Amino acid sequence: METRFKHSYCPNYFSLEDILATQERVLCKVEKSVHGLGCLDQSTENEDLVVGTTLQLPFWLAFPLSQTRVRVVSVELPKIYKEAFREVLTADASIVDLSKLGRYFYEFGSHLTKLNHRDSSAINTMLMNAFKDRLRVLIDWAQNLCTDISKVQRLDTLEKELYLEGFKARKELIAWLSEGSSKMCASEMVVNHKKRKRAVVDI
Amino acid sequence: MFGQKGLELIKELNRTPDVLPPFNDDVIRQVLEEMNALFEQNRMDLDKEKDANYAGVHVRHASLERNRRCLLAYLYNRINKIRQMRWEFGSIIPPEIKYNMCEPEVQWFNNYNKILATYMRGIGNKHGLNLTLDRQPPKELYIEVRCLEDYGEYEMDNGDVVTLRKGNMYLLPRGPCEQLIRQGILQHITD
Repeated sequence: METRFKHSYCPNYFSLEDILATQERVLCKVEKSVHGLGCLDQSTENEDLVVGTTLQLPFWLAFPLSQTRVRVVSVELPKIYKEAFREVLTADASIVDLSKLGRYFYEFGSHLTKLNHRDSSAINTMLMNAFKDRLRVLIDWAQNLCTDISKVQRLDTLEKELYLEGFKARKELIAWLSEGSSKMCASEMVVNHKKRKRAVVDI
Repeated sequence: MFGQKGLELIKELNRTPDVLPPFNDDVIRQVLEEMNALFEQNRMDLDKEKDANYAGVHVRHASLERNRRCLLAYLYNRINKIRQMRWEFGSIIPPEIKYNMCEPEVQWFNNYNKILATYMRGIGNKHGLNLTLDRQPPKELYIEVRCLEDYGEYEMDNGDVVTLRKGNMYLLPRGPCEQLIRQGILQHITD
């Protein structure tokens, strides 16, 4: 059976999550003027991007530009990965509402560490510890079939998927314990397809 | 901003993880146009060999690669979904879904069907083995099922024909039922 959970984002060229995570914007400062591409900065009408301009660029663009031989832009860390926020997460990660900080908190964070910023290793450690802290609560919710939507909404995308997967596994285990494995049911895609079909007929 | 159109495709797929959205050839064309324009501009800039153009070339190159990634990911994830459908819906997919596929995708599906059928015929000591059956270990020869829609006549492996009507219950051999249960036509009743 194929699982819906597609892990290992980082080296996965085709991963949708990874593409969406690299779309997160970072604040960049132009270090070398870019000829003819003033349109990237919507606040000016200049034809070129001049040295010293600060602008928001998506990570997929900012990263290669910061790694060129003569650096074109320098990237500033987003606020949520800076020291002040790192301290909050180190203190108690399990109560933070991660979905407000960014939908791809871990994914984007691990991309940021590739920038070779001096805080890179600190971010790495913080991400790992925060994940470890929160995972324990997450497992607890999945095991006890917690259906409190407001709690689940505070999770980042990776955690949400883990939670849903755990939830499903737990339900399957309960079903197996009570009635064994002999019952056959319609496949998931078929069920979804039928639901949609009926909705169309009703209208 | 470059790469917006490509992202649109990815967002569209991400919004609907369970269904196959219509093939968006309009946006794909726009992405390809953007890529062509970027490439042309880069080529012109490189011909001039001015150091001032250096950064612009980098920006456009990164955008080109991003667009390429979005397009490939879009196609790849759709194909993955279509492959999964072969296992869930069986060899014939409902026309509503087929309608959302583009011509090469339909061809791919047919080819995949053929390869799978050839493989399944070739295994099991030359008797063939249907890999889509018996996904759970069978415990009994006959099972009780309820029919969920008017299917009409169904011929089983041994030549017997049953007429499946909505709402009726049947006691049928397990083998032929499994496919119909997976397709949502029959419901397995256990107590």
